[in-house]
Amino acid sequence: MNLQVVNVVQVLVVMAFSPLMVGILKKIEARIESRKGISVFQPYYDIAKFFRKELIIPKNANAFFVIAPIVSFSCYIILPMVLPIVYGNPCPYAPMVDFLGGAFIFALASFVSTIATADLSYYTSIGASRAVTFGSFAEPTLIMVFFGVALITKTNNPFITNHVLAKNVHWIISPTHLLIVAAFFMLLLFDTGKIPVESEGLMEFGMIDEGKMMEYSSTLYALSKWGSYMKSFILMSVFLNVFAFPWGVAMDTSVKSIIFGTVTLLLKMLCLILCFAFVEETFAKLRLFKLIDYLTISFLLAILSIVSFFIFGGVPA
Amino acid sequence: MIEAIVQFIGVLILLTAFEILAQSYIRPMINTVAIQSILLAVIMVITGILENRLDFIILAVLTIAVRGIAIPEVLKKDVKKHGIWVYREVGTRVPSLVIVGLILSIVGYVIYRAAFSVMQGDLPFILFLLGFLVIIAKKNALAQMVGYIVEENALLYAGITISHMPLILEAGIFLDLLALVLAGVILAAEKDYGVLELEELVG
Amino acid sequence: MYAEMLLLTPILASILCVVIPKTREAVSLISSIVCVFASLHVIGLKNEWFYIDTFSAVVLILIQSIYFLSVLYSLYFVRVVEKELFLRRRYYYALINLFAMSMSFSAMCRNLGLVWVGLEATTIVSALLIVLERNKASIEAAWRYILIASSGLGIALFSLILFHRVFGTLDWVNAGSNKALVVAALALIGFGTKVGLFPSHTWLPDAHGIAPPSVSAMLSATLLPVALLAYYKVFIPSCNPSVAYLTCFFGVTTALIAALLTIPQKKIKRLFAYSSMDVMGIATVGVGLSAFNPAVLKAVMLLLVIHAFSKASLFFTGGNVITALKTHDIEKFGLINRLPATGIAMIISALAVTGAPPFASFVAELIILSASLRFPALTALLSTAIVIAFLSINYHVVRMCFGEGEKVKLSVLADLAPLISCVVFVVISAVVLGGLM
Repeated sequence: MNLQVVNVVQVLVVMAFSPLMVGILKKIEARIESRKGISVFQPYYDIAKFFRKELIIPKNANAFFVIAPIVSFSCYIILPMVLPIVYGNPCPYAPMVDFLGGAFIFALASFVSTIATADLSYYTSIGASRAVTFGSFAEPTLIMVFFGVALITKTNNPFITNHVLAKNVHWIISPTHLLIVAAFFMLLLFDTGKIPVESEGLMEFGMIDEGKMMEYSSTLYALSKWGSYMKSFILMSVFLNVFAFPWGVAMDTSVKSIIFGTVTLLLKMLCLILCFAFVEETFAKLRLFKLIDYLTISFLLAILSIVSFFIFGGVPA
Repeated sequence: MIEAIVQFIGVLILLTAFEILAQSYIRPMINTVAIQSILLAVIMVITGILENRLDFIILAVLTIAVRGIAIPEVLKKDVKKHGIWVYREVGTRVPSLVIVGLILSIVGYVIYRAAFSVMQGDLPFILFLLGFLVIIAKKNALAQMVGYIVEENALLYAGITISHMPLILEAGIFLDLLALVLAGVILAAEKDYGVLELEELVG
Repeated sequence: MYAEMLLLTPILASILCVVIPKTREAVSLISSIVCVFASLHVIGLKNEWFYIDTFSAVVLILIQSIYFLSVLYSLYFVRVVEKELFLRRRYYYALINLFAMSMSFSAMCRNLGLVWVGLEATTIVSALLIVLERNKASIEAAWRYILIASSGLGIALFSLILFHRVFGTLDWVNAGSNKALVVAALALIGFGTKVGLFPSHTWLPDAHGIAPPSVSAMLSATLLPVALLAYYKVFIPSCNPSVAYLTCFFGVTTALIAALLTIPQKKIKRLFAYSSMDVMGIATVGVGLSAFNPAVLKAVMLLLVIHAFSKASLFFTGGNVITALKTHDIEKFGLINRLPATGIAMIISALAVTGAPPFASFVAELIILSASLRFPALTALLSTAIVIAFLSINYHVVRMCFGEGEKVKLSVLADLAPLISCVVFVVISAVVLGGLM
């Protein structure tokens, strides 16, 4: 298979399976709560339904209101081209960015959606201001996690990180690596809006990212919603492929191994979703101002991973 | 492999110290310090077997018995008696405390490495500083008691890792005795005068 | 033989106190007298366990003498305390015996681990003694004391662990010498907590202020020198100029701060506690300077001896004021008229403790000051501290002693202990002055 085709396959996998993962998570949680729950395909139906609705643009919307969902959606389309999703070697565009570059693309997506909604209405500005406030506290952790990975693997490139970790099995159990994984997992819960941070639905007391979408309708709402699903999917696959479980990624471009890579990714993601369901069902949502405590703890884990790297004189040989 | 496990337990011990520092409620704090003592006992047993030292193993038994079970149980009983502590937060400055703890641990690491560049002993040293921080930062007597136990754990940890000190068992016994006296003072004070909470530790 | 006697007699006595409560006072008194005589025979003892050089011997004799005086004073004080006691009286005597024993143990041992164990034991025992009276303030003071002292001793133990790593042994006599700055610095902070050095001195005034006077006297006159001795045992093997500078710095800071804090004091025993801190600061400077000039150590010993007896006498007289006049505050009592013996003892002791000229403490402070001329800034700060402490302590004492008042009746036993201590330090001063002439 041509590398460009692999590129497209990665994007398609992200676009196609991201709503499914949300559906599965909701289904599992419903089963744990002894409810029948919605169909696992409900997110697809929802997105399809929103595309058919009438588009209404508020009077006081600024210039970014329309382009923000489109820009962020395109960001989430670009990201799979530069990250190891199902294929573990760099695709043609991958050399353009490393971890920090990927973080910049994520930041661009949230930046446009924030300035589009910051002064729109009461609810959207709550969402936007909260996203910015807590996002700024999450940023140090993210950077520390990158530093930690760079310390272990001597690189800031997600593909090489994947290869190095997959080759050195004993590094996986080093305290440095485990702490990084724990810190990134906490960050993942924060970024995907899972329960200790944010509860499902439009609850004005606790909403963060959901609040930003309050004024959207139709196509733009569908794109925002789909974009947020894709964001979760991409973050989860980065967490799995680069940090937690670097094996099972396709290493050559044959059709067979790409399909194998896709299937293993979905299986790994199912396990991660089970973890999410466990966390969501056992923890209570934190009070909003306690979120800073939560992010502080993740920062603590990230720093400790680096400290322990130096204390033990590097990763085990 | 064994070394990796010991290192990993060491980091877990450090994490429990941070958990104690960040914890706002008394009871989880006591549970955490009990877990920390048990983790330390595991390290002691491993080191004792590797170094062929009987006193480390006795120390491990002592650690589990006194700081893993006896003192936490006594303290928890006390918490139960004064119902207000079960649900009451004793501190709400989690982020600043954690950041101070982090700065302290990095400073401790740098100082320790500057003085003893080849010795393995940063973890106990950092743990020791954190125990100090708990004592200084928390005003509640039970929380300070927990801080004292953290400090004691750090000392014994240092005793078995930095230099295989001959008198460490005796030192451990005396530290435990002092911990029991502390617990006794708390209990006696609270029987008569309610919760012991110091406004500030200044003369 | 005599060294074992120093340890076993008090243990035996405390067992007897608990088992046969009626004999508690007689047994404790006899035990302390035996210890005083035994301590005179152990000077220069060197064996596998104990190593008693001049400094240790001086501290050891001090411990036993103050132990005797404290028991003597307890005969009076413990009887007149009216409030409910935290401990039964027999446990009080048992603990006083154990307190003296643990201090002797710490002073005699040559293994630093055992020195530390002895100091830790003193914390345990003395914490229980501080809460003699059952009230909230004394329990809080005891809590603070144990917590700070044990944290400090924790640092000390850490320094000993590093000591063992650096020197390969815990025997301070055979350790050789090695420039181990961090070991000495941690020991300075750690043992310094027990000495009452500046950053971690906060337990000292509380504990001394709350404890019964007999225990305050033992804490101040002997426990602080024992802790200083423990630091000295780490200081010698790891001695180098930076360690000496650090020691001098902590000492002079403590002396200065304690001197300044004596000025606003309102409670009698807290005033004396700060005065102890001041003297210990000066002694610590002396220990630091002994790295450059070993002769200074003799001045330190002399200072500690005079301080021990005069400070014990001050605490005893303070206790007399508290029991006879029922107040802890510094007021214009007119002690000379109301309690003549107490008043005279207090004035003489206050002069001796602050280093007034005829007393040997003046000579000692002069020697330390002249040795400190190597660093002019140190001399300036130290002399400032000495002068401030002299003025403010004597001002407070004079205010208490002179004035009008009715005579108050007090048992003979109350004045016995302070007068004996006064005689002792006056005689020592006379001997020293005679020697100098």
